[in-house]
Amino acid sequence: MWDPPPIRASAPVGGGTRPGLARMEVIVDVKLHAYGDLKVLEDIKLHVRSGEIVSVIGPSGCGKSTLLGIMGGILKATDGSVQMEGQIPADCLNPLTYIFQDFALLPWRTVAQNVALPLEHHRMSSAERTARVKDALVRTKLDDFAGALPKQLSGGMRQRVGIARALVVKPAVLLMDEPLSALDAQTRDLLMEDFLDLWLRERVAGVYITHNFHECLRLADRVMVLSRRPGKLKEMIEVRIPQRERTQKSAQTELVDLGNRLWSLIRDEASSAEREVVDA
Amino acid sequence: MLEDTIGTKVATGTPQPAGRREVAFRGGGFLPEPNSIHSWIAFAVVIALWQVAITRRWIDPVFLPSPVAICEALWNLAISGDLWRHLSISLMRIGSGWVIGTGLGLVVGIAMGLWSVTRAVGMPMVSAIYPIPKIALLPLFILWLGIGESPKIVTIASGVFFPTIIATFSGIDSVPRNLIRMAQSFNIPVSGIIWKIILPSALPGILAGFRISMATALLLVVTAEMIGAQFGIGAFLLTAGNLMQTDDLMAGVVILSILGLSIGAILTMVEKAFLSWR
Repeated sequence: MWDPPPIRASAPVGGGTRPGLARMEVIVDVKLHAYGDLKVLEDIKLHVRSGEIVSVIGPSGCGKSTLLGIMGGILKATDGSVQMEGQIPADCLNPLTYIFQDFALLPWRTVAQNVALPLEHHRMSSAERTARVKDALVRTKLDDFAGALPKQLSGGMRQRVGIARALVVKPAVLLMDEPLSALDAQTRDLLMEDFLDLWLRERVAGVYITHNFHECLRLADRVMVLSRRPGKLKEMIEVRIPQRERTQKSAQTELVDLGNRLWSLIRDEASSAEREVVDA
Repeated sequence: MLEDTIGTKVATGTPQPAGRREVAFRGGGFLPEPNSIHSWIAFAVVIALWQVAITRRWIDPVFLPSPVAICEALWNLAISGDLWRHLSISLMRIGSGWVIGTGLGLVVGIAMGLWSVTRAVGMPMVSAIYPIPKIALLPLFILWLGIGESPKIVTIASGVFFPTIIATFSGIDSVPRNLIRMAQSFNIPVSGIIWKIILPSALPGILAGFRISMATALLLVVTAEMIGAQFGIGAFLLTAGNLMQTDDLMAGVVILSILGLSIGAILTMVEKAFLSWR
């Protein structure tokens, strides 16, 4: 059995974890995932440490979203396992919680009702439910929009609802499938900064799937680079600069170097993958 | 010269002068706007022309009675109590048949939408029976159930049953799978997924099916009443036709039209109440 590497003291999870907060880790060992004869993932080993964000990047069709699906129990790996390690906090109702690319909001429910959805099958007083929803709405700056329907909101606001719905269950690990990719560039930047502020306070572990180097270098503690299908671990890159310092001028040279390194790792394969999609 | 969608003349092939000039507006049109005044005016014009055609004897009133004669026939039906006697029994048959057929259709449609086994079992049967004109089964229903209300109600129910099944499982098929995966990712139980995600999401398709099934019910009640009933709008139409009472016959047609419009209006209200989020 694969032994996860120890958590290094120097791991840049930075800032200290809020007392009583989730200290959950996820250990992924996917030997193979295939759809019939089509191998999608092969030999993926990942240990998501408590409080860190691991970004997964790779060419189109390399199995990033599939990997996230397997991690969250939405997909079953052909051969492999996913394990959680650590104590689930008492107030955590859904340790592994998704934030979806397309928001996955119920259009017939208001913002508050969408956020309340994951609580409705849990036994709790109505006061506690209301308090949780209100807290999540305040944290995502949605408290003035509680009664609005999703169709009345912009894309960025809709994704805030998706984030609030994830936060309301007090997750231990956030699984984010390109959460900003459906948004325009300005909204993406604004929401990313808000999300980072939120994450620096909450410090839950996260896996962040993206195509965007800027997002992964702004948010991630480690970047997992996958190869073209079947997706294999090509390289794990550690971003040592704490997130708070990444907008500073002094950090830019290193971040640009990391960006160039990431691009060099996936450029040829991304090009081949795109041709494959067009040919298909 | 070509003419664009708003009637502006567009020059083709002729050399344009150099220098600054306005960019011609090329948009507009192709945007239907509701205009109820035009609808009412057109309706009034058709009725007026119809009345003039009868008054001037351009059309023989034996074949097509005038709007005034139809109104008189309607009035006489109303004050004699015949209108309510025929209408009430037709409404009872439509209501009973529609409720039974829709209720069963919803149950079977939901089962076929949710579970592969029920779909595999039900689909060939639905495909085989759906195209049969249900009125063809009325003699069989009379044989099974005797003469009375039951065979007519069962004919209507069977006509409503199949479109409801198809609308329901198609509605469930069209539920975005990402919403179901979202619910699963929060460990929402299956019953919660069905009640909170699948059924509300499938509701537009189901309500669209209700429109089809209501029209089918109206068609079947008239036909069934023409075949074997003493009372009901269908029976009234048949009697009026046999006696060449075209004013009564047209009064019956008007009643059917009003009935269809009323049902449509009720369904529109239901849609507005339940689908205001769209």
